[in-house]
Amino acid sequence: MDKCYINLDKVDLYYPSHIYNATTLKQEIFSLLKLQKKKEKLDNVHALRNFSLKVNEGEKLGIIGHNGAGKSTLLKTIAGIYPIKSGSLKVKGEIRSLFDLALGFDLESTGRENIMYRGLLLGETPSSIKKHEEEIIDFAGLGEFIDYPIRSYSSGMLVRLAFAISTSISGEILLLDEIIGAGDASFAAKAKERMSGLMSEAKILVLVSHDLSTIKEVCNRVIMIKQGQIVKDGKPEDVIKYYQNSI
Amino acid sequence: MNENLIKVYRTRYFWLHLARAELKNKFRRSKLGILWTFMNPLLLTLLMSTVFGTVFNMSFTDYAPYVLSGLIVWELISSSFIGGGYSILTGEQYIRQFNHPIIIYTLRSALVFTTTFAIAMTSLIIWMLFMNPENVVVGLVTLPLTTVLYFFLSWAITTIAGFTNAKYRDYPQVMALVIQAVWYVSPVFFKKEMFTSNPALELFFSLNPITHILALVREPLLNGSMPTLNNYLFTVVTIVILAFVAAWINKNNQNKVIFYL
Repeated sequence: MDKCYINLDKVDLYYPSHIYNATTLKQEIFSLLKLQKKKEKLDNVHALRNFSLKVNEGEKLGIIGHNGAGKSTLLKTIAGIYPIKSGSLKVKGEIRSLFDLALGFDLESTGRENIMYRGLLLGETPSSIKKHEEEIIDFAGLGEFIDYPIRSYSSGMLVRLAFAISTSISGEILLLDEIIGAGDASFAAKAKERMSGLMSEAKILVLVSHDLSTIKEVCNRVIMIKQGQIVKDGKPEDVIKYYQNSI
Repeated sequence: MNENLIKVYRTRYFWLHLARAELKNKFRRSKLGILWTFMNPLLLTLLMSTVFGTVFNMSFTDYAPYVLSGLIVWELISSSFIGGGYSILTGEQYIRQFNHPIIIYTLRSALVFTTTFAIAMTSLIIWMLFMNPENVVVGLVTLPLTTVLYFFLSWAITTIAGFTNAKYRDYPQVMALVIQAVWYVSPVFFKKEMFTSNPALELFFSLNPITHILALVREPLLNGSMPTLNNYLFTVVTIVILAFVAAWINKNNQNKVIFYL
């Protein structure tokens, strides 16, 4: 069995600006007639710059940095959602990303049906979801409400269901944008336990978080990102100290 | 492309679910539900053939099945062009979180349109069962292949439309006009005789792929004969050309499209 890894080699990623630079016919004519100021051209956003990173099996990588440093962009690039301009991205292992838990929910359908929908979205087969179903319902603690349309749920119940479904299936490479806590005090404790279970099961964990104590607790390697580049890479204590000094 | 198709196969449960959910949501809380798909063309035909039949002085029994078949097939084509424009946009939330192939979202739309077509076809078949029952056998024999061809036609169109609309938001306005223009030069409601008044129009009629696409349904069910080889040839060539365009657009845009959403 090959080991899992993530390997980014000299990756450049741009958010193209021509979409924001698009002008309407009216704007073009008006600026030609000097009735309106010409729209300022925006530059492409260089989100990841010559970015190289290798993550090996067993590593729990924490990513820290200021807002807009490129943390979430990095996560979504690893997930294969954003196209890279140059360099190479190689990922070995099955990726499971938890970005938006409630995605794919249909308000008119029952909780039970939504377990199926969300599970299919995550790449499961109907039969494998059926196997998890009871466990998910049990964990979400919804009781008989599972057969009601989720339109009738309180927001807390919805979050519990979403959390229960999304965390029921583990993956080899787990990508997390902030650790998700959910629900009331008793559920939050359960959720935390489940989350740590999921994180320890994963062969590789990549966690983006602003909560430094969680990072210190969970990760065994931390990188700090600034303007799309790694400025510090190493043990959690060292990098976090460096980060705190830079604020 | 091959790798893409493998991924499409792997995500089959997901896009099948999306298509099912869309069909279900369309008629949620309506009394007739999916029956509307069946009733709508029938009622419209009643209306159209009364109006057109009076204006052009044609017998209702002849003309109504012609209009009904035209309506059902035209609905598939026009919704693929116009509704298909939203196929990728409505998948935005999914595209932002999963790197599934983009064509599964256009596939979803094509499945919805083809299913709608198949349900609507039952209304024509039932009609013919009363009017010309001898045509129904050849109609049913040719229908599976016709449906498969229509599905691929629709998928190619929704893919082209979906990417174009994601990039150029003027697409729905322009396309609505283009589709209306095509309608006027296609034998959707107009009968062949109306095109023979002018030689240029007649030539266009026989070269118009829509004439042949429509014939796949009309020849068997209305005339009781197999569609001609020519009909199949025109349809298949149209599908192949559109499929090549769709594949090319997909290849060049599937990674970038996320920036246009």
